[in-house]
Amino acid sequence: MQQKVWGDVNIAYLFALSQFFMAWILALIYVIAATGWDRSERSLLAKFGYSSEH
Amino acid sequence: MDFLFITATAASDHTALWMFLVFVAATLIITYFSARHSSGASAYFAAGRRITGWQNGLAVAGDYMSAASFLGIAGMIAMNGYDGFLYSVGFLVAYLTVLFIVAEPLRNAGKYTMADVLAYRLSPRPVRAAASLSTLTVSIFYMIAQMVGAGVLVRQLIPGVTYEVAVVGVGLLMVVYVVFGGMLATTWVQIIKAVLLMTGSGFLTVLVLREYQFDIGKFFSSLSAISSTGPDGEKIVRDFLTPGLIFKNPWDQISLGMALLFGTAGLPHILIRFYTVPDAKTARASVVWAMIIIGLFYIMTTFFGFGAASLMGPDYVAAHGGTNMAAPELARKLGGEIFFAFISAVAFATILAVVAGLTISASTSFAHDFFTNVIHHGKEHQAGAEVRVARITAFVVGALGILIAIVLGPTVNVAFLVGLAFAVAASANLPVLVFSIFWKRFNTAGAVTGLYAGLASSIILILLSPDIMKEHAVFPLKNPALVSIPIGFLAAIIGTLLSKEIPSEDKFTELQVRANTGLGAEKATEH
Repeated sequence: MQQKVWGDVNIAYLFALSQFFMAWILALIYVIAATGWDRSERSLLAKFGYSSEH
Repeated sequence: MDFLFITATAASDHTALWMFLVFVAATLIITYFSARHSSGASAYFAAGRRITGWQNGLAVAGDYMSAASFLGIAGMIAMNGYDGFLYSVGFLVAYLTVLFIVAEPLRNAGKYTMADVLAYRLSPRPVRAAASLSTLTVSIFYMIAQMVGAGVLVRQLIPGVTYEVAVVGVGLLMVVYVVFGGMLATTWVQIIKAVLLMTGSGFLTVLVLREYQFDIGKFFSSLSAISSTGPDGEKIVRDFLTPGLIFKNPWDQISLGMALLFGTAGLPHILIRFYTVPDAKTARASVVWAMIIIGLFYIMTTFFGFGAASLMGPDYVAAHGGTNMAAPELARKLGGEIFFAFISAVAFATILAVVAGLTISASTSFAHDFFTNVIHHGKEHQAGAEVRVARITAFVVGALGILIAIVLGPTVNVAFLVGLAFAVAASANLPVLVFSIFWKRFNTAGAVTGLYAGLASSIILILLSPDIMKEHAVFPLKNPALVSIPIGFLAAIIGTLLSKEIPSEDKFTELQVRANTGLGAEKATEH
């Protein structure tokens, strides 16, 4: 963990920092997937005669 | 109000006071306009469900980032380096649980509180009574921790203001926001706070980097040899990017991480924010906005926390007010008295936004879950009674908070109360929330045993922990989550399986359709 990789920045710090980007990337993947679910939701609601106002 | 603040103050310290008063005046104007606009329960409890995605994202961030995470984490990094930064990581990653599991189904299936989702297909009265108890426990314990913190802080930031005056001031303001302005005023106080907090920490970050000519490499190099005075008075030189300088027991860290990861999605004051947006898609968007803001903020703690370590050093921080004052003192050193005053006002705003959120979540749960649904079987016997009860509850909760904070006094260590709030949210609220959305067989007995077992195990384990029992602790971990979360989940499963009650399958299907499509969900009010 104390191995220095870039200047004096070590693996420990980069690992902690990477968690922020991991969280953002997982959130992005979820949002993309959920946009797909929104489409099937709209078509499903339309099929049963409910209008979706979104 | 004003006369409370004006005591024997040195003439040079008035800048911070004036900035406080400007913030207070702005929030009171907002409260006045919110009070004029708001009529009806949906307006009072859910801001008419017309808050937009980015507004709610800012408000969630403002509701969540407490003074402990601004001043506390900065101070921990300043004193001991890397280990303090680990706190920052957990606070953001926790939002994945909120995004993936709770935000959207909650918005679609509920009305004002977390218990709405549970009561949808389970027997409402016992479930709501238990959920209301755990909501009140989380909100009130968390609030007392914030109030004690506020009293100590304001006393340090404005010399001449006593602990008691600070506690009464903070308590009065939060009650005024919630009683008169309801959720709309609370939301805007939180939005302003989030903007102020991001502006303040952004400036502080730039000022720190300017000291290193904006060379990030140089900044990190300065951290490899921080000298300070050890416990025995000897000089020690440490690399502040090394893990393990203060945290020695990995199980403590794992337990804390679990409390954050599972607890954030069960914190009532965060959950009720998702009722303020028009639909589940906006709720999703608001979590994303919140994650961007919260993530950027906690990355910035690197710069002002480590910056305080290398530009001032742990000894200087210890001699100038201790850990909580690291960020304000850094602001004073780099930006002068005006910037110190600004950061102090930001810290004050930070506290107020969080306690207002906690007060409204406690009063909403008492009025909606306990008064209307447990006592009056879900029927509002008098028009407007629910909102009236919520206002009275907010007043009582505020008065209790002030009283308990003053009785405990400034010297009591209240960090364990925050740990308790997260542990109860993670062990009592989250398991039953997850099961009621996803598990078909789940029933009332399971929800009630899950809630009470999670609540009781968290409280008992904290009472047996080193924070309370010191060196004679029966339970070795500071945070009970590692043990109490499995207890919460297991109790909910066992309670379900032991009960003969077979839940209605139609009701589960109905909840699934509603949670996933928003069909039948509460709509935003018209203008």
